[in-house]
Amino acid sequence: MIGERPSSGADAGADTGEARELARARAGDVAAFGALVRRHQERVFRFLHRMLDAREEAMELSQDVFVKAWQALPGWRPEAAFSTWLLQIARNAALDQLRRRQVVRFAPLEEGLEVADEAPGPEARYASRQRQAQLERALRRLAAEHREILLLREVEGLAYGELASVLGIAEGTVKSRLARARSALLEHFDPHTGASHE
Amino acid sequence: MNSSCPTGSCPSGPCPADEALSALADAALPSEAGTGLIAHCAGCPRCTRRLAELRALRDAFAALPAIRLEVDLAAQLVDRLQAGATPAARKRRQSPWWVRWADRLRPPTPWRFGLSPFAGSVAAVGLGLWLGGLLMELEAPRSPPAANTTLAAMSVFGAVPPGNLCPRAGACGASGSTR
Repeated sequence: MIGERPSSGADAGADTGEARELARARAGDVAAFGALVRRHQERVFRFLHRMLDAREEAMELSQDVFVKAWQALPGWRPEAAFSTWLLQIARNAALDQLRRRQVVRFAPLEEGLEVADEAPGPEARYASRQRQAQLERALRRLAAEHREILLLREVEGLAYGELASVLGIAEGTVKSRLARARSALLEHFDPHTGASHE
Repeated sequence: MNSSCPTGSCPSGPCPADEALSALADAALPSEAGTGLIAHCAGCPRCTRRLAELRALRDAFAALPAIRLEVDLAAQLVDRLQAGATPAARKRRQSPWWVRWADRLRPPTPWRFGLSPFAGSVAAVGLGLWLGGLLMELEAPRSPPAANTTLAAMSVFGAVPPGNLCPRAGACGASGSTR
């Protein structure tokens, strides 16, 4: 299969050290588990932050994710990449949290969202920031199902097989859901100009 | 059918589904299918535009500002997990059954015994007995032994009617005579 993103091979690259830490952590070595946390904490936090759009909440939930991982570690099997397994726990935690909130947050429409011109210098930087902000707002408008698959693919660089594993769906479904998610995002966001389609 | 190609066909033939273009943007199509799709897009302005949008979307994601944790979660977690003493439970769960049974039969250390539910029950019963004893001691001085009073009270319903002779000494009270 084509389309394996370079970052998806991160687990394979760090295998030896991580495998040792995993073996020790599974035997109850808290310090080894701490080393694993250090390897993956940024990724788990980043995903939760973008899913929940709340820094403090994401930080607390990241801790919970690792505590859950520690408790479930004896049940982990090496067939599943540890990072994918962690993202699976994080994804479930994020969905639970969103369900608890029961709130659909809509992005505000103010804050000067006019599209900046393509002039170089400060204007260009400003335009770039506007574009990023607009994408973040558009992401917040998506259903959790679409947001999670886009973040896992585009930000975390998961391959289709890994996406299937994290989301618990078939690879064919990954393909169609990803297409629907992109289509939904493009309804709110023009990637060329950064303009929002409100 | 591709939403960007509402007519369903372009000069270069029938348009592919959006799903195929999305997979092409990810370079996740088998090489033959990918080549065919690229050839189609070369002659189809709508699909070209859609593919460009999908690719630009990926670039937009790549340009998102980094989110940094700025805290070492590991340090906080290690303390928390060590305090939770989880490894002991994990070791027990992982060990074979005979080891787990041997562990159960081993005499408990004072600390483990102190935290067990059995110790709690023993303490509760002991406390109950002690408090009961305390109450008995407090009650005792308030009701000094008064054998005669009790017996006199009981004699109202005695077997020997008042005025009759007692069948034997002591059967009708301390005096041994009729009331």
